[in-house]
Amino acid sequence: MTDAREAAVSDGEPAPAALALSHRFAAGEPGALEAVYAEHGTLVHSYCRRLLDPARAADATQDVFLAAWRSRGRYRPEAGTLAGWLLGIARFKVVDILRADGRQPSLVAEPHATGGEIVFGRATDEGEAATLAERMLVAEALDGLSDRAREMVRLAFFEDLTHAQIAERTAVPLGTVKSDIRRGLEQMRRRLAGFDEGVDGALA
Amino acid sequence: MPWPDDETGVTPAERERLASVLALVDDDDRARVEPPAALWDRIASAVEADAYDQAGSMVGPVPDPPAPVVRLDARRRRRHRAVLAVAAAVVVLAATGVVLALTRDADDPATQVVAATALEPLEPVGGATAAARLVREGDQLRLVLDTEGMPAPPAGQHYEVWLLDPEHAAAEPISLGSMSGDAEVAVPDGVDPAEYDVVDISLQDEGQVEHSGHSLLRGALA
Repeated sequence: MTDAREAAVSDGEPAPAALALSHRFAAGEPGALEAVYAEHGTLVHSYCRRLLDPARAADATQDVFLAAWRSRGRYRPEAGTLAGWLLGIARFKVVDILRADGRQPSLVAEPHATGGEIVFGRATDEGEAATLAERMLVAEALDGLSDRAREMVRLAFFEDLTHAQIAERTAVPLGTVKSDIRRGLEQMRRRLAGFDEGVDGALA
Repeated sequence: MPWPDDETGVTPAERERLASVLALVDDDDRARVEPPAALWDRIASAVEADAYDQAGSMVGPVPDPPAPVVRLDARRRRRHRAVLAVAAAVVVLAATGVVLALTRDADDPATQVVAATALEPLEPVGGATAAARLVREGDQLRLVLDTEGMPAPPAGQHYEVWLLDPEHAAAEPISLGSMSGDAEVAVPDGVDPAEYDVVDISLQDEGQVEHSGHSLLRGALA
């Protein structure tokens, strides 16, 4: 889907193209915002759409990118990913909109079950607006991993296997297991770190 | 998790958080809804029309010609204390050192000066002086800064206006945003000016969110 994802599959490190874009964005380079929107607009909108109706999701997405551009000087590419940072901003926007609306956020239930039509489900709180962002970011990070690395992460987290046990079970060299897991964790960690920065940092 | 830290470079706390998030991820979290096709054009127009950005107040070089005072609109007034970015409107006079009289208070009978202070330099800032007035207009508090002789900040740095609560050690400084000369900034809702009664101007590195600890001018509102 993105340059970042393709690069991540190959080596698990932040893609140079994605890093370069973060720096161009932070420096306020002309055209950088449009490139960032092309890269992350769908993620931001999808997040907003999980919590808002279509019109307000579009408004919120617009607000996120406007606020991000205003605050770009506060974004630190080395601290976390832009995707995470943008969702940190989006979380505030969404919660603000819902508060102004005089109601709590509603979490959308099963977008697939309704043929893509998003419906409003149970009430949730601001914490869930944050958790949803974290889930979407981690899901994105997982999707960017190779199948092998994703399986390693799964075994480590859900089967509680040690690196050595994973190597034994999968017949993959221990060094590869370690580097797969390290990179997988780094992908997820950098997104969540960006999210924390967006939440704590710099919103207009 | 059964792995030592040195093999992953991820702290136990981070791992625990990842584990709890991972346990919740499902296919819905991968669902994507494309934004409306026209949305980028809307964003581009909004950015272009953004007077705030044109004033160069947040980042980037200080523009040469004096810019008009731009008021925050209501949407930008938020109370989160970390919302430093409610940086507000900036008037740039630094190049000439000329003081532009801000006459809004006098002109508007609904505006009332609540408190004021002359800021004392904590270290020489090129002979700069500054005065602050806290004004109330309706239910909105704003801080009006009149400065004289503020030099342009060093490259890569900017001035930032803060409210401090000196009585409570745990109270974190509240940023009212960056400034480069005279400024009129909104005091976030929920901030009690009786508690946060010290106005502070600091020198900050770009991207620095917390108070740098490098205060240049300070005064207690009374």
